Amino acid sequence: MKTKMYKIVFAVSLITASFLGSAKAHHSHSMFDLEQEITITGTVTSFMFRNPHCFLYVDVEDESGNLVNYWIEMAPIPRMIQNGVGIKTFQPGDTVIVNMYPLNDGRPGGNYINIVAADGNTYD
Amino acid sequence: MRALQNLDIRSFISFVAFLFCGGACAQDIFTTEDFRQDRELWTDPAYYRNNSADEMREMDTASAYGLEGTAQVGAAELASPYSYQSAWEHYLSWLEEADGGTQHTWDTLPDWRGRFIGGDDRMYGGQNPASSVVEFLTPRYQEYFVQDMKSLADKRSWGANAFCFPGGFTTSVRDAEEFIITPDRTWILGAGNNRNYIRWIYTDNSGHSSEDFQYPKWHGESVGFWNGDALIVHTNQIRGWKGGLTEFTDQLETVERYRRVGDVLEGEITFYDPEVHVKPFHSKLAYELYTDSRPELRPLYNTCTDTNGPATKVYMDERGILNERLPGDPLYWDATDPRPWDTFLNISEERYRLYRNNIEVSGN
Repeated sequence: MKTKMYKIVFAVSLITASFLGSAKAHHSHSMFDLEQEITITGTVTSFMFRNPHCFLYVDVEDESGNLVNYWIEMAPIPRMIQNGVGIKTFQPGDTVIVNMYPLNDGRPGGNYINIVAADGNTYD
Repeated sequence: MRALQNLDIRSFISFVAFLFCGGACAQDIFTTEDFRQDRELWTDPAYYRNNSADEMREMDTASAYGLEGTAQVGAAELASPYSYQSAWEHYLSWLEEADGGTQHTWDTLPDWRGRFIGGDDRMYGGQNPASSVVEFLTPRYQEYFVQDMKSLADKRSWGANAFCFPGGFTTSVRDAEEFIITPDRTWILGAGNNRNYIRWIYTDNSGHSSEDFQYPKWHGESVGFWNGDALIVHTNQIRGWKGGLTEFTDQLETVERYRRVGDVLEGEITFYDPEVHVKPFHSKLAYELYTDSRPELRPLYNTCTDTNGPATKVYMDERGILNERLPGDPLYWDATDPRPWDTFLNISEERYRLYRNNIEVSGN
């Protein structure tokens, strides 16, 4: 859940910087690049509805046309339920759009920010 | 150059600090190559960029890395307001004030029904500057604490959660949710998303185990009494661990007091661990009644291994038979290591140093 952002506009054009807001988590997220957001679109292969973390697996077609399976870490079950996500929200074969912080070692995966499900709803 | 967008207050402060400080900023926990050479800076809030202990703990789980913090010196009093020198002295004094305690019946017990949540604050004074916590520690534990802060600043911290360890005593207190009270016993239950907590508190005058049979336990051993509608608890035999504001040793003993006030279960806890703290340490507790009664949000049994997998020490060998790893096997885990985070951090420091050097040499 992101903290509230305060938008501030500066007239100075020479020096610019980009910062992201904070997001609480219960354990280290050092394996994710929290300064970069990526978006993938693909097909759900499985959805693990478990504690301590739910996981979504998504096949994404790369530039060569090969399918790469992405591993996406999500929140614990109580938070998922509070955000409207249940065990049937993501089904194999569904097309989803995932916004996430990628793994910082380059492997296909990341920590989700939000997901647009096949039903058109966006789930945080 | 990246576009200026969506600043939050911490980002704004850091940006301004950068403009005025630039490359002449003093060395701090984020930039130092060897924190052990900076001992004279450990009690300076600026060494942690004015981050509180809690903000430092969030550093590698949030995208607030390296930003200026919002800690205020004295945000929460760390020192105990009581003059007792030991937990048992403290407990006995309160027992005397209660004239030996209130003997409740089922009809006179207070109503503590419901599920309670501890809230977002981490208790134990975490909103204080990290530097204030250092001042409260003995020299050895100052180094351990700053080592922990450095690991957070480098985004290579150790957490019990990550390795499917229990949270330990302090976490069991912080994450308490239900207080099941009877005239002669109280159970405190909690359900985190990767573990469960249970504490037994004996209010039947049976006392602690005899000394010959005392040993460290994950949630300690608790006895207590009632003073009217307040429950007072003494806990000893706590297994030393890392959790809460600082780590603690097997010598830790605590005194807690709980009382329900409206929809809040108010409490306090005093820590007595002279090996770690220069004086007894105190924190207020507050658990608010959780009003979301949806069945799908009931507490449940959880195990970290459900997604992190089973232990590696027991395995199936090449014969197809269950076997155990011994010292010398790369996957052997030493169960007698009293401070596994220390082992992790010492190896992590060396690997991280080599990793950083490779980056500098190769230019990547």
